Amino acid sequence: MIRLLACGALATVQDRGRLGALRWGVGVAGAMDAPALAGGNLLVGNPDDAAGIEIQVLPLEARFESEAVFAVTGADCTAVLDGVPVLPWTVARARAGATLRLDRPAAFRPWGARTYLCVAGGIDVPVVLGSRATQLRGAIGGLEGRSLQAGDALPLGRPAGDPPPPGTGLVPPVLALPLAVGGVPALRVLPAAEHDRYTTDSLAAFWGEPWRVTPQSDRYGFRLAGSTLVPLAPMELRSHGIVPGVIQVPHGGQPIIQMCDAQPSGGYPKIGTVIEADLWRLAQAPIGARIRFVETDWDGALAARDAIDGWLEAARRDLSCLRPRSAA
Amino acid sequence: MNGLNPNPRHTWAGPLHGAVSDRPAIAGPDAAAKRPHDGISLLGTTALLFEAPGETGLEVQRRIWSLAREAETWPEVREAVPGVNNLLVTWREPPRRLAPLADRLAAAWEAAPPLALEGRTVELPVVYGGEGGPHMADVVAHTGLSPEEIAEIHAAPLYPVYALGSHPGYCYLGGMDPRIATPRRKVPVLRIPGGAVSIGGSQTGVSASPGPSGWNTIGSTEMSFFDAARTPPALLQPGDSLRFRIAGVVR
Amino acid sequence: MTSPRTTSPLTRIPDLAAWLAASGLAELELRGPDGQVRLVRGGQAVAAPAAPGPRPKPAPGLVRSPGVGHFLTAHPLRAEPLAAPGERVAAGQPVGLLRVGSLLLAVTAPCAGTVIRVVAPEGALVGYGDPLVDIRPEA
Repeated sequence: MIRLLACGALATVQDRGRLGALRWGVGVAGAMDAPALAGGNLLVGNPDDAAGIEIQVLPLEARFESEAVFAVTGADCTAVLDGVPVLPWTVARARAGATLRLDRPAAFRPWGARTYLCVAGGIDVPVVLGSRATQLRGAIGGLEGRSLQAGDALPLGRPAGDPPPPGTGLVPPVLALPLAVGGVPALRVLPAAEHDRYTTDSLAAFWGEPWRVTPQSDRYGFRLAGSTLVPLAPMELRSHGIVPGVIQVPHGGQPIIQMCDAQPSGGYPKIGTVIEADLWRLAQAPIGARIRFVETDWDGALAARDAIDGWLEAARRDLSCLRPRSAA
Repeated sequence: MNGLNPNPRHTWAGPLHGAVSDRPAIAGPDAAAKRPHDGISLLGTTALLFEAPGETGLEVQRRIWSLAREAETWPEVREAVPGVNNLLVTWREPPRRLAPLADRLAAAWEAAPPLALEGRTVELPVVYGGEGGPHMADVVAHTGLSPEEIAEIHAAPLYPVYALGSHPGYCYLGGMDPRIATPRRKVPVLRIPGGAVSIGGSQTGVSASPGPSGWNTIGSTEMSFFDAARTPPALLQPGDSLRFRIAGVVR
Repeated sequence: MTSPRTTSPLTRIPDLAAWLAASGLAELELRGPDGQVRLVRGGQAVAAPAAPGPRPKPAPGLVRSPGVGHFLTAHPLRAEPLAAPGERVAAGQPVGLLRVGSLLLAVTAPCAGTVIRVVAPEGALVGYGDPLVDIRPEA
């Protein structure tokens, strides 16, 4: 079990998401930065469907009530275990009673916006509709369907096996698979149904100009600020299913990218969809950051997916060579 | 970053994307120059959206239910989720080639017979206007009708549940009188309460839990639409019906 | 211990060969107290145990590379070095990293002391036993 001694707003238990419950109006939720959670689970020897803690606001302080192997992935932060610094994206071992403090770094400008704490065995909250992910709307999954707070006790599952030795780390995807246009972090986008119903100037701005992440950006969606996108004619669509990554343009003309806690359906026009393989990049874009959209096609989107899968499989393979085995 | 060269995979293969009507529907060379399917478009690599042509209506929706049942039997399909006269298809793994799936979907739509689902009818008392209906004034301004007239028109029909979506347990209803249709809000509201009765375009619905919405809230009711511990977790299914009863109109 | 244990590398040859094939490295040489192994990608793999090579001279404060990889003085997400000259380090504290394929392996101080000098250049390809960081042990 781990006990939260201090916890900022919007920390939640997340796994890779709740798939297959759209028919009841239940969205996927899950980790905003899926590769960070997947990498963390690999590092601590967890199965792919294990849950970790997604942290948005630091500091967070947690006490390990029993000995545990853990890793801190996603956005970089200062991690200190009983006074000893812990490397990012690296296996560490905590003795029973040890306290881990994650804080905003004073010494360096951190990369990213969301940090993940993964613990061997996973955060063992009940599985609801096939997942442990917290879905705030409807209060489903996670710890009582809500954000975490100081004093919470989080049960840990049984570790699956021998994790790699402490000090073993991964090269994070932001370094292994960088993507930027003119120095601005980029997201690849597949045009969606209403793409061609915007003015030439609007499309030129959409593809050619940077967009700023506004403070009204969270797990539900990222509201962007930039040029006003103007449709050729007003559109009123029938409600239809949508998925994380869909870029809606409400009547005001400022795009909203739907994210993990987004409604699984909507009716605003869709200019494009950020491909699944790049959603983690957006998840790590802090408020105020600028982003760019880059057009891709089906094959390009699949290649991007293969690249992120390839990163994960290389990590899995390399880590398996390090894992101590009693038989060997 | 860190000396690594940013290498955007930027393919300029042309606008090979989903479309509404008059262009190739599916991205990728395997679809180009082949028979396009009107109304099929992409939602990234996660899903495909099929829009039924023509006017919105219950007969079309019955064919959508039929198409959903069919598509859910295909091994690569994870879910086929009806919307309002449309269908979202998610898959377990994105197919390498989209055209075969799109072809099959288009063919299945042509063959889909209307599926008449006989469900239950649930009645909901609604207080229109006042604190629970903060956007009633906007609907009044748009329609030129009084709050009493709007309540009466809104409570008159028996609404069939077309689809579930938006948030856990939420129902999209068919059959709203077009006289009270009001466009979605220019800027979505960050939080409306559970039980909010609202109008978005030509549709109406009741929120099942607090959350953001782009619709105009005209009244409020109380009902538990969703319980994850229940099987199935949602109170209503496509094919059920909902009736609103005027519990009061607050000016 | 923070480095991979290679107490008996010969038992791990199939793993190592698979890993080498995918890692992009051309050659991998491991030496341990009980022998050494050398794997060459694409060539005829040489996996014969050999007599122990010349042992590095014991130097209690000298941190040597536990394997083959690129030596990093700072975590690539950060700018500041893990161990700057003049800095005091605790036993087991990371003083550098070895990048091997997709992995970043912590290289740790064998004892508490003060960093005298970082011997290996940033990003250099180092082999097993190569000196990396010189530490003056605490008395």
